[in-house]
Amino acid sequence: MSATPTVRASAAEDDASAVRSRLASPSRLTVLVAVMAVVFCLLAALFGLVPTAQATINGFVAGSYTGLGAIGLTLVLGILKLVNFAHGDLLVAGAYFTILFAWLGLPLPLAMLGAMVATAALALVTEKIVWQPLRQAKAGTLQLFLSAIGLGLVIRFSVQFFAGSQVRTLGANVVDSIALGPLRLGTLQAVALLVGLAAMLLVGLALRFTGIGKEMRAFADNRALAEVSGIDTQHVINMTWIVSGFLAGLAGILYATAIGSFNPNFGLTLLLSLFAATVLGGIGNAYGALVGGLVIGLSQEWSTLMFNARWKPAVGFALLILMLLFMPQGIFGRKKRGS
Amino acid sequence: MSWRIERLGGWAAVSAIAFVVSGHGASAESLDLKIGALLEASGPLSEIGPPAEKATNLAAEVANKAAKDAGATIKVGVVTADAQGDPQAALSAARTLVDKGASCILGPGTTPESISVLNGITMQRKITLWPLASSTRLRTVKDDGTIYRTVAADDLQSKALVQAIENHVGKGKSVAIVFRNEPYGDALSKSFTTDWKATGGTITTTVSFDPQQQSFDSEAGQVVADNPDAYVVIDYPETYAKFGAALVRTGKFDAKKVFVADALSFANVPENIPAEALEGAYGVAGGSPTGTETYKLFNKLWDEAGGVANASYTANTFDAGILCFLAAVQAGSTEPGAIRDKIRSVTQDGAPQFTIANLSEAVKAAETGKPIDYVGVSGLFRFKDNGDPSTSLYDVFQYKGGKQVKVEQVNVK
Amino acid sequence: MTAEPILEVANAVKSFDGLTAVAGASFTVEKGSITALIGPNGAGKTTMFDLLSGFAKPDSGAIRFAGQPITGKAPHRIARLGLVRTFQLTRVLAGMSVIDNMLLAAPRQPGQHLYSLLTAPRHANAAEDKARDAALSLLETFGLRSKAADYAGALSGGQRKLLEIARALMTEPSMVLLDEPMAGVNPTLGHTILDHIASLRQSNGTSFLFVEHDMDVVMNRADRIVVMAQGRVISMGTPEQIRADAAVIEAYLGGPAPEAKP
Repeated sequence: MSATPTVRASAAEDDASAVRSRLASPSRLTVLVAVMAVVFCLLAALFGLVPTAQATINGFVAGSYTGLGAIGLTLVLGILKLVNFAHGDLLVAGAYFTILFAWLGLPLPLAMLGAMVATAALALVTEKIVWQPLRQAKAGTLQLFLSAIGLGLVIRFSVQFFAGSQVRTLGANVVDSIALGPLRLGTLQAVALLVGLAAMLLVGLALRFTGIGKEMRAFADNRALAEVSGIDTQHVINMTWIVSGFLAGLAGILYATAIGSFNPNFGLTLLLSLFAATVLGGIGNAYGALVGGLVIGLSQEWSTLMFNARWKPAVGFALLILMLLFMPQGIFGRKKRGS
Repeated sequence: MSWRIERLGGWAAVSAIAFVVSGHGASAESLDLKIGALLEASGPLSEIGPPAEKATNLAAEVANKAAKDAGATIKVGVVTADAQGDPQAALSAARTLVDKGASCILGPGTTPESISVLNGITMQRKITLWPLASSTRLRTVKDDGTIYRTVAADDLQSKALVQAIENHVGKGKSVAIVFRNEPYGDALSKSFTTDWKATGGTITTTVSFDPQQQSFDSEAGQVVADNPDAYVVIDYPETYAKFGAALVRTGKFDAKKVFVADALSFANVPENIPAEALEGAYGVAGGSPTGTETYKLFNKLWDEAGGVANASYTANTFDAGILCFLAAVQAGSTEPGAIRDKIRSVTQDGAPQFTIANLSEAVKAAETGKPIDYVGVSGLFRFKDNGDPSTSLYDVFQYKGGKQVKVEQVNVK
Repeated sequence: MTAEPILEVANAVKSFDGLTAVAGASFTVEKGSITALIGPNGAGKTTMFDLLSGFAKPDSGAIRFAGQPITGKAPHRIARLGLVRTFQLTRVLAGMSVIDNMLLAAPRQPGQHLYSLLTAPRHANAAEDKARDAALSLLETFGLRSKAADYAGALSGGQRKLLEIARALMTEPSMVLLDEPMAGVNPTLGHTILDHIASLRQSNGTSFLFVEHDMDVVMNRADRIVVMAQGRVISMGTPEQIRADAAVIEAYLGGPAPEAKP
């Protein structure tokens, strides 16, 4: 595998590494799946098949919450290069919009749909009143970073102001479960898992095949080039926020429904996991968010077989650091070129 | 007559100030005592906020009536703030209370909050703090004699749990422990493990979890794994809403085997906790001597006041408010340090005993500056050097139809 | 020789933080011409390209393209009008295939939305097929046909340059701005690129404005030359006229110290 021989320019070395990273990307996933399979077998041998399989199912559930919540985050980070610390609070907005619409008399499924639309609208509003002006004012990274934290606080405390900070529930049945032989999976968790996986697949496909999806990827890759190709960048930015907000709303609703009990701070507690999934999966990659979420979910749940569950978050994040040492760009990440 | 008594009261107050805290500027004619209620109005323990607030208000009401009957000029008011279950928020709430003139503070609900408030403001200002937190850790912190507890520490609660399980499951059985990873659960689970093993019982597993976890199913699976005879659950309602649901989802869970610690004691099971997770479950919480006239009177007052239903530890909060009031009367001052120094002389062994039934008599006696012995709704107070009570009466209760039903009382030491 | 102008720049001024990069430049580019924009480093050439393509807004002055004012228009609007640019440092969408790089630059068309793919797949497919054919034929021209399915990031430096120019042409432009098309590529490939440009001007009537430092290339390839120095246009004309212009020689050989490159 060498660079095209006709060129002896300085770019040659660069090109070779690009080729390597392209080739490495699918094999990284393969290696990861292989490692996970080996770990599963080892755990099954040590702790028994049923407990290991149950922990695996639980890991998938936890991973799907995280993965779905992380898609919107990874899109905004990858496309707009914005570390959106307010993303967790968009999830909260989704859950509380549902409560609001249900209180206004809408049946729950309609209230949920309305809540997703409202969260998307909220995300778009934040673009119009915060991010667009900041971008035009050429705000630096630190300013954007602090604005995101501030915006998150504003959303969270607005929710607290209108809805109170007490524990809420969406009233769904959280105790029903499906028996798969000796294994158990909560009915709502199964729904959350399926909807989550479907949403991630759909977003991945849409990014790959629709016009706006390609425009988003082009924008993420090189904004100036996207512009000279005739891509309306503000439209891409707006769409990114709408999609990100819609998915944040969905993730917030699914999480709130399946976990059963929440308060306006749940977004903040989720945020770290969402960032972890984003970074581990490779920034800007919807499938990466899924895989990153699943890796974190599985490793945390598997760790409960070996250690007391109180160490679960520590184990998950230790593993995250370890994996980033080996693949700093994340599982689906691409080496950044200097172009 | 009333004029004379009033004057006497005033003189008593003046002389008390002169002797105890010379130079303090409170008006001798009329004392305005503010009791601060550091409530768990939101956050993980938000279930205990409303009953604690009502108990504090009731204490102020009873105290005002007694003061009026006794012709004393002291007036008791309540100021409140939300501790939110968070040490940082609790400290800032405590500062608000102090700014509003609180001379003593009832609450907060957890040990980390209590330590934060203690170190941040109350110890320095000599303000007595009356936490509802029951961790043994509060015994050993440096507090300059400002922490008093009307609730027993968890080494006693552990023994109450042991007795409850022995009474309803049997001796020498297997128990799984699950606790929320915080000082309360950590300390109580350790005490319980020691106590339970000492009676010949076994522990199948001890599972702890971080309250911010996104799923609890693996942990729930471990709790039910070896099919223990009982589960000891040391958790708060906010997380048990999730953990309890996960327990039910395992399909192997039997709520009747559950024994909850006092943080999961409420008059009615909150609606966010799935009914299946607590129906038939047992639990323990600090109790009050139920047969007494005092207890009946307190219950009557509670019901007449309307509002939230009675719950665990309301009597303890109420008594703390009354003790603060009596100490202020005896000190003739609302100065926090003066109140602190009189707590032991209103609960002195051998002194004339008073209850809320004759509280106006207690006020008259306290005004003379002589020691008295207030017998609380929650029992007799014999504060140890570290401010902990020696009371050891626990209620064992069971949830039936979503309501708490008292089953028995156990006495532990 | 008074051909119809496709691009007219009148008194364009642009300064950054007090530093004037373009100080009242005026010139025109004739339709169907290959025009070179030359000048010493810091003359304001790249800033001029930014003004023309909408990446920077002139402080004053007017720019007209194909008869309509484009002063201060957004880059994507200018591109859609048929005026596209390439960059000095080659830019490709490294994470996409070569063919997707091309298709993204295809003129905006209906039927790339998910819903129209679902409701009218045939119509959408027809439009996409047409774009794909155009893309493949351009790739053929630039010798990149065999790389169509590869990731653009895997191309060599020279191939990227070709892809960037092919992408620019994919938008069916009436004028292309090339910022140092021969930089970073070997001379053989550079001349291939210039041959393509010449033949495209021949076949499609596309106009080109390019920045280049190699005077041999400029003199041999350009119909007309615009010379900038210190933010102003100091000379304009055919290669012969420029070669004889004393002001140009002054600017290149004895001018004051070059200003900072914007």
